[in-house]
Amino acid sequence: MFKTSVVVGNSNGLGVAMTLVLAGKGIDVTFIGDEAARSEISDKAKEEKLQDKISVVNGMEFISDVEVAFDFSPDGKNKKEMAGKIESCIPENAVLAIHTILSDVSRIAAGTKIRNRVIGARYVAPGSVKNHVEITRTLDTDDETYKIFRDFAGIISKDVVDAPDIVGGIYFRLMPVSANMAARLIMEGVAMDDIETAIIYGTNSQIGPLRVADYVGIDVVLELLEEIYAESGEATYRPCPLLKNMVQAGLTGVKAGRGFYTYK
Amino acid sequence: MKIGVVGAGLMGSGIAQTCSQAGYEAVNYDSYPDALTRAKAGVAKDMKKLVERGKFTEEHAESVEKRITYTSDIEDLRECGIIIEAIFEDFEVKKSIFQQLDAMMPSETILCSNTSTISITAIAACTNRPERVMGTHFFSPVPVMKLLELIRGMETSDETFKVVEEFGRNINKVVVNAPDFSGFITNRILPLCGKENCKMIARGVSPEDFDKTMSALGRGSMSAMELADFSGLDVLHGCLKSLHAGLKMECYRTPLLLEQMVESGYLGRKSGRGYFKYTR
Ligand SMILES: NC(=O)c1ccc[n+]([C@@H]2O[C@H](COP(=O)([O-])OP(=O)(O)OC[C@H]3O[C@@H](n4cnc5c(N)ncnc54)[C@H](O)[C@@H]3O)[C@@H](O)[C@H]2O)c1
Repeated sequence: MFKTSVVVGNSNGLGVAMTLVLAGKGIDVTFIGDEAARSEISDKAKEEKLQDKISVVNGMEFISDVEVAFDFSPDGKNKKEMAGKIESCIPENAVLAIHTILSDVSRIAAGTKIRNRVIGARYVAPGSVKNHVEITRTLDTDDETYKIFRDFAGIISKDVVDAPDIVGGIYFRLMPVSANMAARLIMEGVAMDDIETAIIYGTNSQIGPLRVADYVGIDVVLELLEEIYAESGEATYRPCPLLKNMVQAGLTGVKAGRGFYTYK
Repeated sequence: MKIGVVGAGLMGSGIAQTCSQAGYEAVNYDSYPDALTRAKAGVAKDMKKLVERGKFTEEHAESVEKRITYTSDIEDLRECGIIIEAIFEDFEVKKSIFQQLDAMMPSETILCSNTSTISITAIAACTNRPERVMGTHFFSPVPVMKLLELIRGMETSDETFKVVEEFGRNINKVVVNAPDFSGFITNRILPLCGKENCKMIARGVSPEDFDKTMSALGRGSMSAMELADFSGLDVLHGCLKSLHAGLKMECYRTPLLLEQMVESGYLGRKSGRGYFKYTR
């Protein structure tokens, strides 16, 4: 069975690292991240008395013997480079799992030399890591890698589902659709509260599309829409101008204290 | 105030029941006597269930049934202060009933339509009281679903809106103010998601995996694929068609897989096969 794994990233990868250790399958985790993430995970590990199961380091030289590596580095131009960097430090037969929502996985895997060992892993939110992961085969992922990683992902999450290799995967391909139409309804003069209330009571949900967008981040929603619209030309994804205005004004949602709604 | 409900189908009978449950006297008119019989039996069955589950006392259930009058004589609507129309979704059919009601009802009576796609402004314009016409869009099953979308036509007066808004709250609905465009609020967003969900299945994602993903953050009573099968893929198909026709927005174009499924009779639970298979 698996013994070692590494998670490279910011606080995004933290949930996976912790869940892996807490799964109690005897897996040692190495965490590489920026200072804030390192201190956050060190504190968490201490809290749970798991210091000896999780080593928090600041360099790739400590990961030459891992079996599975996760890349949770931020989405963007550096992602491809990061994949190449991690790959050059892990053993040849290790699996590299890439977390991305703003790109397909194949594009990032193209930055590596052993592309058949690369696969996508997408978590909806830190709070859902234990429940669910979308995994994505790239153009080159081989059957063995798929099988190994599927088993491994199952240690962390209850449900492991297969997602196509497209921008956003499943969840993040659909989430911006309601946010975009809700924004368009605001432009047509509908009150925000009426939209939230209509969706909550019309579908028995706990939260409406505007607040979901605030939580995900208006900037992320806009980037997803722009990316998908550029690639597909589908009218559904043509970004509503209101979202652009909001991002330009810095109203990016919960993290900024203000998106559609105000947060403290 | 008495409430008149025109049409005793799925929606009309539910609206009459909801009004009665809140203490209003309701007159449920339908031109087909069979529809009236079915509506009455439907309410009786629902009351029996609610009593069995201990939600209603026997007296209350009895009074709910008693407060609804079923009739195939349109004259019986005369004393109603608000009339809600819930007949077939066809402009010509609705137009003729609104003209008939406009001619026979006192000028202060408010006329509402439960239409899902037809312009309230257009319906109001068929009458001589456009300021006293508006939209009341209920959700099925009406006694259960809390939402009521209120739609003003161009001529609807503030006074009319206020009266109907208060009526909505009195029958224990959560009311929202929706624009007079196809789909209003909820049905602008849901069919759009339904369309993208369908495209995700066309890409090879299994309906099971799809439902697991969309409920990763918490599950409602039904997940998206189950719900689509439950409400019927033909309903989604029809919704998208009328949104596309009504709004001229490309985003409501029906996806190929949905066309194929409807064409093949894979309509969901009711036909034994939709996204999932059902044994009957
Ligand atoms: N089904 C839904 O989920 C839903 C939701 C919201 C709104 N609506 C709207 O509500 C309306 C009714 O829908 P429904 O699903 O209850 O339809 P339905 O077919 O179940 O019922 C329509 C009833 O109207 C009666 N009727 C038809 N023409 C009539 C006339 N000229 N005079 C008197 N009675 C007449 C019919 O006999 C029938 O009983 C439609 O406008 C529809 O778009 C439906």
